[in-house]
Amino acid sequence: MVEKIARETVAIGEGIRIALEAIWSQKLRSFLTLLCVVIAILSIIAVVSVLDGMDRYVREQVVKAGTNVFTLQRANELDILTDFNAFMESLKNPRITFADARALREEMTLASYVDPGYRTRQNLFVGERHVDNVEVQGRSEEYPGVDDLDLHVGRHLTETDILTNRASIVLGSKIAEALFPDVEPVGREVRIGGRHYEVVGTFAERPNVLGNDRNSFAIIPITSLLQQFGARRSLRVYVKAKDLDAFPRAIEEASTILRTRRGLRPGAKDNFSISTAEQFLTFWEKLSRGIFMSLIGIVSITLVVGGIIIMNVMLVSVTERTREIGVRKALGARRRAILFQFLVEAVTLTTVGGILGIVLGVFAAMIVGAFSPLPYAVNPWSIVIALVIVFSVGIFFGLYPASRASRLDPVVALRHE
Amino acid sequence: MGTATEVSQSGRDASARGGDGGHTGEVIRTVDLRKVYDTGAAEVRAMDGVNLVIRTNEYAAIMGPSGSGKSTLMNLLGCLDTPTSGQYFLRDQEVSRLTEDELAEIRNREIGFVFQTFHLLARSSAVRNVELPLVYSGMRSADRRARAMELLKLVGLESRASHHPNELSGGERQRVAIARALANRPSLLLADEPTGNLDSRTSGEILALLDELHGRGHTILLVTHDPEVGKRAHRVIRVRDGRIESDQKRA
Repeated sequence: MVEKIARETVAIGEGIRIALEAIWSQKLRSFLTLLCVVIAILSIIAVVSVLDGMDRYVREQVVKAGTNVFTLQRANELDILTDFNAFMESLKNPRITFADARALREEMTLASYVDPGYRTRQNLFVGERHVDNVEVQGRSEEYPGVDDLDLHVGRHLTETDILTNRASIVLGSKIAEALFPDVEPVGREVRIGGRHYEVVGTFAERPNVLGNDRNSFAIIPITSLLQQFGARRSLRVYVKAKDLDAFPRAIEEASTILRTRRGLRPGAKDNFSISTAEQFLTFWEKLSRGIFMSLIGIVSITLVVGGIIIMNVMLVSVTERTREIGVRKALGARRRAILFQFLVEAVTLTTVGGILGIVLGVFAAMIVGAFSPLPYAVNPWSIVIALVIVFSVGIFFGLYPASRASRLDPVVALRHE
Repeated sequence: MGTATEVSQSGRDASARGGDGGHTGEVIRTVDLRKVYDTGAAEVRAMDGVNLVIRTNEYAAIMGPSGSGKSTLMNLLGCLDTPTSGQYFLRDQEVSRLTEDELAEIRNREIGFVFQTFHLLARSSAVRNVELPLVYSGMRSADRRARAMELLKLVGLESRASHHPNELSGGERQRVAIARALANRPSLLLADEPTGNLDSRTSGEILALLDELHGRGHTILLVTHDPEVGKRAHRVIRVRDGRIESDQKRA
């Protein structure tokens, strides 16, 4: 028994050694053989790493945005990806107007802030100096309660600004710096299109999050925006619930108010959409699972192709080494030893490919991390799973060639030319 | 060189077995060994009732023209193949009905093969080639290396241990193969045309090495068609049509 175990361990060591010798002596062929496996593992590691990184990022953002804020809007863009028909249908919904927002603010009891908003991109001018394509948000005076925005100097927008359509503007720190490099911006004018806006304040600088600049924006009264750029726009209304407990009821309340305003019968479908951070998370989970599933599909096909190539090469190798097999058998190699040798060779081959794929995959994820704001996080589990996969592919596709080798008749094998 | 020849009926050897009493000195005993190939169209009797006894420390040559059945006999005696009928005792153990894996183990421990084309593994160094039978008998790496070096020294090639077969001459390759054949201290050295691929000078060296091994107590069975080589053996067994035609011992 002890002798038997000793023989098996010797056989494993010998098998790996023979396999590495064989791989090394046929470097180019081994590499080409392994290409598919390398690509498959590389994509697993790279995509999973990037997905993992994005996942962390999304969760971080959601937590930061506050879990007790929800948004009313005409259509939910997330539907574009999950339910395109529903999205197209929802585009026929009536606009959400400033009046809707005012009504919500008046009637809601469970909301601490109700803030309508609209975003456009505009070019901002100060004399000859200009910054192009700046995110300009039209908001109400409630925005500081919804967004986490601190002032650097000056003041926020006030109710008067909103009610009188005043041309007031609060600048993000980066825009303020770009437009007024030498002077204090408060009290000065910024031209947007044909209208001059008075700078009433600037925001404190916000730290970048994973490469995203969060200081290049400006806020003007929503009423001024609608006046200048057209009133027939559908707004978003950001609602912050009084507290987390009231959150679900606040959603219900907002919905009821809007339905009543629009005269929807009980049972009729909402002709507006309410989205929450949680919805976004669910959406993200669905999306990342979708990406992951299609990855699995592609990787499986690649692995099957890779496995068949390996099986083919192993069969060629068995034929080429028929005499070697004969010699080994003549010298006392039992069936199991030969089977094992070729199985170990196949597994060693795929494992080498797997390790190569892991290294390149981590490298690819790092490159993505370096050249895009997307973060990456190499999940140790993905490496373990990758190794398990290559191991299984090696066993599965190596078994047939190995068993063919082990069943060779020594007399015939020795005579093989 | 006086060559007193003695013709012995192989059948008589077989019948003498009972009277031998314990027959511990026998390495090989075959009883009515037959090998029939059924090619579909016709039966080919490659081995047609061979009775043969080889004793410890004999140096015997099996000779015969091609197609005589000497290859079949060698495959059977080498446990590479199993007979259709008849019995084969190797060191008193009946091996003719063993499974493939049991035969592999017998080959590993009891038989040392020397082939015409050496059959060394091209990708492995000389010492690794010699280690091969030890790998399959489960010897540990360090012990294997020590034993293999000892054997290379025996055949005078310890300085070539790390050379690969393509860096060795034909004679050196065959000496590595002989070292490999001796690895597990086999009961029988089975040499199939060991000088067939060598020039005459190198052949002489290899045959001298075999003589030396015989002198050290090894039992050697040589398969050859070359009378010059056959002369080195102390007993010549001629095979024709799957039967033993003659069996001569030299004094």
